[in-house]
Amino acid sequence: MNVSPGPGGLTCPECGAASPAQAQFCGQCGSAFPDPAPEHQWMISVPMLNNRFMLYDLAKLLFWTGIIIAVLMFVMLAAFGDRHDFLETYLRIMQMFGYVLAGFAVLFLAIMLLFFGNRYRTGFTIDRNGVGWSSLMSRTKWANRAAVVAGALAAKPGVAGAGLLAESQEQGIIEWDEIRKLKFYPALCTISVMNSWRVVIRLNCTPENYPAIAESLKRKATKAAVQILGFMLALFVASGGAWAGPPKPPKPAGSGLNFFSAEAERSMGRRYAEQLNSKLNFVTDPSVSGYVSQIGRRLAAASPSPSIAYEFRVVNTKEVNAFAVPGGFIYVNRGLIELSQGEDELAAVLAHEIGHVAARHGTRQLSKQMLLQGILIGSVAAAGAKSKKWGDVAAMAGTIGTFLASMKYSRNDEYQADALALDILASAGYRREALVRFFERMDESARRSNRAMNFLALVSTHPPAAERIKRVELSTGPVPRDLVFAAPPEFASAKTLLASLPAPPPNRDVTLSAALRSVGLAESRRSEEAAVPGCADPGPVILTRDFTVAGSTVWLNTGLNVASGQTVSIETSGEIYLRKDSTVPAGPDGVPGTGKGFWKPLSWADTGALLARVEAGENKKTVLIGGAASFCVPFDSALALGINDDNNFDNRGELQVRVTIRQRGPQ
Amino acid sequence: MIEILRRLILLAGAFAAAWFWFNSPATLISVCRPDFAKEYERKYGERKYAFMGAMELGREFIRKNTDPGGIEQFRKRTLESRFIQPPARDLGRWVDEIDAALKGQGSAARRVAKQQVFYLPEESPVDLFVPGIKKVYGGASWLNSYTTVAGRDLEFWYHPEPRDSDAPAWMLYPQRAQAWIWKLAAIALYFLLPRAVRKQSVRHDPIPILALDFAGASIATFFFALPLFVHDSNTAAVNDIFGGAGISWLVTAFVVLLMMSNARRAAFGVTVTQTGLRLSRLLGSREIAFSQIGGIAPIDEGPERLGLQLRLTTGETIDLEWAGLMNFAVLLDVFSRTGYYRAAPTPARIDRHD
Repeated sequence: MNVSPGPGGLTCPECGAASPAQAQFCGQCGSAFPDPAPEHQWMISVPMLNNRFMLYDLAKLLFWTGIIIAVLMFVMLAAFGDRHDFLETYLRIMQMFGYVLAGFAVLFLAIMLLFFGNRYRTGFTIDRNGVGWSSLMSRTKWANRAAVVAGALAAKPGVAGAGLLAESQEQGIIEWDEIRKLKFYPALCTISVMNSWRVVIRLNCTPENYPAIAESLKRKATKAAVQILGFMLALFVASGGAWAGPPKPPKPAGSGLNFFSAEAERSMGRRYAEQLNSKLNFVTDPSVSGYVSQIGRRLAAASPSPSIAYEFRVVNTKEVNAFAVPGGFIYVNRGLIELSQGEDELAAVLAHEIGHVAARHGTRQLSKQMLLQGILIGSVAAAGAKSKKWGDVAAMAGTIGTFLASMKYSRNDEYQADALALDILASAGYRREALVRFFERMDESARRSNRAMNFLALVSTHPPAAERIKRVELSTGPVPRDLVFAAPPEFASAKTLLASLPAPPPNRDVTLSAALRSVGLAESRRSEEAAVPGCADPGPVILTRDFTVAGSTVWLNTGLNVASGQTVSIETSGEIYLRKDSTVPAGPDGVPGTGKGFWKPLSWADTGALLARVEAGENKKTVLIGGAASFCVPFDSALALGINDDNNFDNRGELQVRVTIRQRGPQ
Repeated sequence: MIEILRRLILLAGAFAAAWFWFNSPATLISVCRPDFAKEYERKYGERKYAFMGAMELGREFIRKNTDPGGIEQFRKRTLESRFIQPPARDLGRWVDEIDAALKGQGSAARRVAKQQVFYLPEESPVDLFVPGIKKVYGGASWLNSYTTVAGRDLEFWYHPEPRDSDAPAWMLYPQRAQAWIWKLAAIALYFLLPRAVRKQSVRHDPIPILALDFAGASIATFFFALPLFVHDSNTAAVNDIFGGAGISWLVTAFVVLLMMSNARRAAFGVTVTQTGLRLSRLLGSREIAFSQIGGIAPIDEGPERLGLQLRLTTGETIDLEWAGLMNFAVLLDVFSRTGYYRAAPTPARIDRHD
């Protein structure tokens, strides 16, 4: 078969089609091209005793043999030997093996010298397939065959196996795509060819052909490596790799796991909003509420979900806060507006809340928790089927895992809302830097009011301001501290009006946070612990009972059974101490500013505050009472009282508690 | 020559170390105080074994039916047969010294091992008893003999194979400390002696040379020391030169020769100078000016190229085989630049044209 090279490669002798130079088969008819002449082919005799690589290999062989024997002997002696003279026996055995290994070393050297005459002749080939080698020592071949035959005749499989193994090494090839590393020793005219874990062959070159062979190997091995990399890249792209190929369009906001349709979300949000609206006091002056709605609508039009019918309300409370209820109900506190300096900053907060709504964080969060709870219940059931203890362990692990997982999602949600806010602000014509400036302002405000916002960053749903600023500044670039935003007349007049507006009376100052907790819309982990609003019409008192709750009480069973629809009013007095050596007492409201701690019954409520719990089987509701509070009993249950602490046992003091139960209609 | 000297020094140090390591006195004498009462009880006392074999039962039968006499009679009987007449000197202080040493006191305490005080045969005053001890040993092969000095009995033990005795190591191998010095000194000199060939030269790989030198020295020392270890003393080993010791030392000589071939490799080098080449060999170096080179041809053996052959204008040829040589590319480069040789894929010869 005659193969004539085409301009860029080979011409098929069967069909005449052109193929690349490296092709092994014709791309047209599939005929195999004969192997072309090797690029390099040479033979060389290398001295054995004077070859550092051979001596190195011999030393390595003996060293590892010694190590393996040492370990085996140690284990065997430790298992079966006499402990009394363990070390002495071990050293004696190892000394013996040392002599044996030294004997082997001498034997190997003698074989190299006497049997091989200190010369080993090898032929090497470099062609399109790879690097090939072949032993040209006829005495080696004979010796290997003799070992096989002798081993078979003497029924010594070890000898026969060694012969076969040596025979298999008489020639071989390492293909280009197997070569992972080349090591060059130009002074010795030697090249080590390695696969992923060992030296496969050492190419002994002559001083004449070394430069050409080294160059050829470098070129071909690099080409093979590039081909492998390309193949892996192709695989990665095919499997959906994110960084290969053209950039994929970003996921639309709101995509992801969500068990709720948009309609269901809106409907659910409306129910929550109605509950909130009944709790909160709003600023109704159109120069404020209308202005905020106007900014909100401008932002909503620029958001990824302009079709949602957003509603914006200004809550009359000094608390610096804003909140978005799923479905597009956005609440901004008066305190937040008063804090902001310029319309852009206010817009930044609203854009962030719109981002939450557009990304449907509320229902997505709920869906994830439902999924995790489902997995948790399944795991606990499966583990509990094995043993109660394992069930408990699984339940505990699952609870913590679910909690942490949901917190992670919440933080990511915040980052996503920030990112969306940046886009919305830019699209709506506001300055994106305002978001950074507002974070800084909130951080300063929090520091001034001595509320550590960054505390417990791990379990907080809101990431630390510094971290959010850092992330946002990746998009905006550094934002100068003295950057001032435009304050149009509408903004100024809104602020003036708010400044002139009297503060709500204390009994009517319902903060957004409190209202959210009361409707169970604050962070999801608090939902089952939120205060229950009192019944609309409590009715007359049907029972009054006094109790003493010791500070060390976890839960005190009052023995009172309460019925659904009854109103329980609790008044508390007295002092407790949260440590045995503490001299600072805490009242029934607990220690102010200690509203954190994962292991407390109400993690968000102040430590030491009085709690009430209604419990009927699996149904439980824990209510923060503090000095005085009323709540409507949601279901027939038993009433218990307790102290909100994660370690009650070192508490001192006691609280005097009066429980009054009211009920409408005949008892 | 320096390379031969280097290896000879290494071997000499190793052999000297082996010699001193195994060097031990040909014989030793130990002295102790005999306990005849204990020995009498051991020999003639009642056997109190719960179970006795035929031998023990026989001995018990003889004991019951013969009269060994008392301890004093036993002592007399023992001394009679192996008694060495004490010299006329007063040796009371020496016996006191022995008594103190056996209690772990005095300067002779370091000579004590297993309740015996060891002496070299030439040490005084033991040397006075040596003829008598040897006479007893020569007469009936008794290793122990007795004397009475200053009214006290002494028992001598003759150790013709001291390495099997319990003698303290410092007496048995008194020159072991020297062995280390010889060994370390030889190794230091091996490395400190100047090299015959410089690093930049075309030369043999120094790492295998170093490894083989030390492997060779170890093997040679092993075969040199084997007779010293096997025999009772170095002197005995030397006396066995026409026996096993001689064979072992022949192997040593063979390995030494191999090391000399290593010296040949270590001494070989080709250095490119301003005017030509300096060819270093075991017995000296030689300058070859470029003008002396008439031509260079490859040395081919079938399809294999082994190196280059320098053909001098005088008709002399110098083979430069490149197997095992480092930096040979330097020579190729020089020959190529000077126009003497150009690498060819097939055996070819490029003669000088000027």
